[in-house]
Amino acid sequence: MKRILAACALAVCFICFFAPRAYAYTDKTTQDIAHSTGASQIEAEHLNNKELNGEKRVNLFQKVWQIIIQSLKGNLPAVTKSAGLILCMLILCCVMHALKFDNSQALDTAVGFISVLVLSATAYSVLYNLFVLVKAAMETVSLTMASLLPTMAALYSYGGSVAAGATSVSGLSVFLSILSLICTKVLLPLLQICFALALTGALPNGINLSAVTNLVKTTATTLLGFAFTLLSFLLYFQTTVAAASDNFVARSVRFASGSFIPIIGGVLGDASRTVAASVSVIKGTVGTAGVVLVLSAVLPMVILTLLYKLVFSFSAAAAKSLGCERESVLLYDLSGIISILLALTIGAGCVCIIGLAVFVKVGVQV
Amino acid sequence: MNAFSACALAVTAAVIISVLKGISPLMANIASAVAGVVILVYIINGITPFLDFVRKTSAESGIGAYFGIMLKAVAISLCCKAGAEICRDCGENSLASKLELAGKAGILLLSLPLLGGILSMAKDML
Repeated sequence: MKRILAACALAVCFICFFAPRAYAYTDKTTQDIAHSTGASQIEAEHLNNKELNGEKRVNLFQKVWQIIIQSLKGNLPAVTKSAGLILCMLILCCVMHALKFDNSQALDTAVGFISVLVLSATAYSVLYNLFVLVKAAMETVSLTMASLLPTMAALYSYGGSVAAGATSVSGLSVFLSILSLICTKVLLPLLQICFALALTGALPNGINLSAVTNLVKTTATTLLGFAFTLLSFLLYFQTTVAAASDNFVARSVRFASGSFIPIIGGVLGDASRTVAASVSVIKGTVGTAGVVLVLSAVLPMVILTLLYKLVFSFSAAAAKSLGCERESVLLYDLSGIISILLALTIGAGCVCIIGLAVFVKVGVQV
Repeated sequence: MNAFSACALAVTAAVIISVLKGISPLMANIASAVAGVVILVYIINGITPFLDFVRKTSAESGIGAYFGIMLKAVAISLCCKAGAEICRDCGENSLASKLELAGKAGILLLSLPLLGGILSMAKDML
């Protein structure tokens, strides 16, 4: 018994100290394929060449932290400037309201109109940049998802199982890419319309389009909720990516996402196990570098939207404290629209991760 | 600007006007209008340092153009309001309403560049 234990201990020490490194490409043929497909030209901001090639170990937590810090460092100056601009405008609006005349409603209305208009111009210029950046990021994600489909079809054809294109795996991939397209081509424009209409609700005695704004917002939230409920339903039945066990961490994530993410927080909480399993699939197949690449595409978009949501929520609260009721209404409306945008970006990110995992799994199986 | 000076000026003018009302209502109205304008100019001169400070701060923070628009709107509003009150004191309520309408129109005209900018941004987004 002692000899067996000693032998095991010796074997463990041997494995720990003399284990061969697992490189990304094990033979020349694989390396040639990787080179001709352009895999060697992948440039990653957070990874060096050695980490990309598998020659150096990648610490996932360190890289994720690096992505978050870099996003914050890159976006905080612009977001802080935007917050400062909005707060300055609010103070000016407060000064204007202090000069209003109680017995002259016409002039009071006109001054209130200018006040809201000026604040809207500031908020528009701030949010315009956010929408442009999020739109660009989501179009990249949806294009990536859409580009996986012909590659997957080619893989099936190459593997000789053409009929497998009708299986649930490819069906899931098609659904994920359609969902990504819906997020980019339908929901995001709806939010833009909502944003454009939000101004009119705050104008004093202006055209009251608040019913239209609420209708557009309700349509966007209903579509978003419906699409992600379908996703949750499909994920329950699919077996390509096995969901992780329902442990304490999964339950905590589910609770947190339900509280933090609006509209689809519950659905994303239920899908969190699948997302975690998808990350494991990507990590197990292409390595930690692959996970870092995916997260570096998804996380900055989410962090930027979150920062702007905080700015507008804070500004709305400040407007209410300063007695600028109409401005507060406008800022709360805009904060609500950014909440939906945040849910959209997080949802699109999760869809991207699950879609990539499905693609990677199919590639491995074929 | 000294608030006590403004107060003294207003009270003195009120006393003179009330005396003039018994002698000549026309002179009383003229005196009321003149006193109102003088007090308004005195107030505007008094808050000029504050306006300069706000103008400088907003220019540094990048919202100088917006501050200019808001200041013009407040100035139009103040002038029209003062003029309308003088017209009402003279018994010309319809003139006062027209003047307030003119002020409203002036402020709306000021907002045209802003509206244009917002609409062009919204058009780009849509």
